[in-house]
Amino acid sequence: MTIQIKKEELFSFLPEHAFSFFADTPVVYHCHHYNLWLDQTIDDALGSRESVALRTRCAHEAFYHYLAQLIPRTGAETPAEKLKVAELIFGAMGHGTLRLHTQAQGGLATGDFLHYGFTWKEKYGEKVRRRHTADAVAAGCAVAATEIAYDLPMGTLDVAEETCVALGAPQCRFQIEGAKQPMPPSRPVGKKETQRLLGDSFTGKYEDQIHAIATGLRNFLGTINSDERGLVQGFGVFVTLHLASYYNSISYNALYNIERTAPQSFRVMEELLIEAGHQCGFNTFGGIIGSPEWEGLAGAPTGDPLEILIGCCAIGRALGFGQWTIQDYTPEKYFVLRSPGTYESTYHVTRHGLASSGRCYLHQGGTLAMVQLAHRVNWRDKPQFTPELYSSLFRGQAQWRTEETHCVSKGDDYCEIVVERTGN
Amino acid sequence: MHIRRDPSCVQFLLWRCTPDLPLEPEELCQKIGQSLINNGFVDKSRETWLLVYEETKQHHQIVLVPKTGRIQVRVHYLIPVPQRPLVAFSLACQLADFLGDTHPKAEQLR
Repeated sequence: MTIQIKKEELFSFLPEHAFSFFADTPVVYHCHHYNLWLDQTIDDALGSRESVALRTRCAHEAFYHYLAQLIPRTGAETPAEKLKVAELIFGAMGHGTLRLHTQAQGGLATGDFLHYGFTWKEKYGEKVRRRHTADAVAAGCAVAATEIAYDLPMGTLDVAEETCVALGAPQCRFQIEGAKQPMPPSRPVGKKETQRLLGDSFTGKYEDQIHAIATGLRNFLGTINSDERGLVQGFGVFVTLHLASYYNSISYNALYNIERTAPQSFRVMEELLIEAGHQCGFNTFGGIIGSPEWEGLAGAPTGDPLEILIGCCAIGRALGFGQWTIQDYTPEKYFVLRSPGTYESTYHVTRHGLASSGRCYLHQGGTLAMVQLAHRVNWRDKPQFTPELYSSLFRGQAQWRTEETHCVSKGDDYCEIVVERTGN
Repeated sequence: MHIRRDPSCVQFLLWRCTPDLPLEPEELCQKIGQSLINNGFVDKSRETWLLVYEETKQHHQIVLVPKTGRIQVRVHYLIPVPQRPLVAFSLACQLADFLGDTHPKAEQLR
């Protein structure tokens, strides 16, 4: 049997809601800055041991549901073919090179240029000494792929990353074996579950401009392939096409863990998740707008704040974050971003039910980053997106107040972030 | 020709080149593009608004934006980090030669 991964057939897009799916599984693009920062946020909140366990479990679950949808559509029949599909798709999504040498009872997997470990080493390797492994996502994929390949229920096997490039090893190695503890069953949060929650979509101001740029950028993203390492390097960052469920499950599981064990720190945890959104907006949005690709598509940034806000809305849509619309804007004072749903809120309602307050943390942090990029970055000077620039924008006294006034997670018809200037 | 690290450049991979000569963006891109092809680069462009030329031995890329005349040199990641600025410099000199422009100054690499 010939394995066929027909990207065009497996990929689908809901244009009115700007959600992307691969094999009916919600997917989004994120860069390594956000990926590393969010993982670090979970590490800080739970401690590295518990965090690695949680992140590995979440990746295991997310990849199990994903591969269960994907593999039957590729023509793969034998376990070897199914494992091969998992390896190919993992690299095609920009996660690096994973090799699975596993049987039904487990075995070894190896990783080279794995997105998390490799980019951690690139970004922090010379400055920071890491003490725990970095590749929970690859570990989760490896164990899930083995279970799917051998028709095993989720949680039959367990995985541990034994060596990691982020710890100085030449290669990442994963040991997979029979699970000692059962994994609680879970339902997938796929396209069907997401669509069930979506109400009517809507547009906002500057819709024609946002739509045109978003369409061009999304089409361009569709043409980008990973390199021979299984990495996607573009816009000055390493890009992944990632399972939205992974981001959501690590974020909300950590958040509710904190709520149970240290309720006084709940708000702090929310702030940390929002800060991860700042990282995303600053690095990914900033990197895209500063890139030649953007210049060819939308023109060189002129320094007009509105132009940046329009551009960021288009980027949010193209990355699969949701139908970001501008509802109100007064320069230097007020900005309202509204969406009929985000990849965070639709997941939250499906998995955790209704919340008492907004749960779109990436959305909140990303919106503040948009406003800062629009008003505080001198685009004419062609800035470098350095840690120093990040600190100058996001540390120190807050100049803006951000509030999620509406959220699908708390039963509203849409998600809305209001950013308002504080003081002068 | 001037050369400096491009925004979002990590590990000395991305460089911006700016010619001294006052050429219109499209003319500039056409002239450089043709010269690159004549010198063995391969046209890897997928869009008309972003021209990408790749050198065949080490796979460095020259990216051109016809709308604005922006030139970006992308050094291949297999080049060791300490050598990347010199590779970028050498490519920038090559571009300057294509245009009949002056070479960049080495101190611009810092």
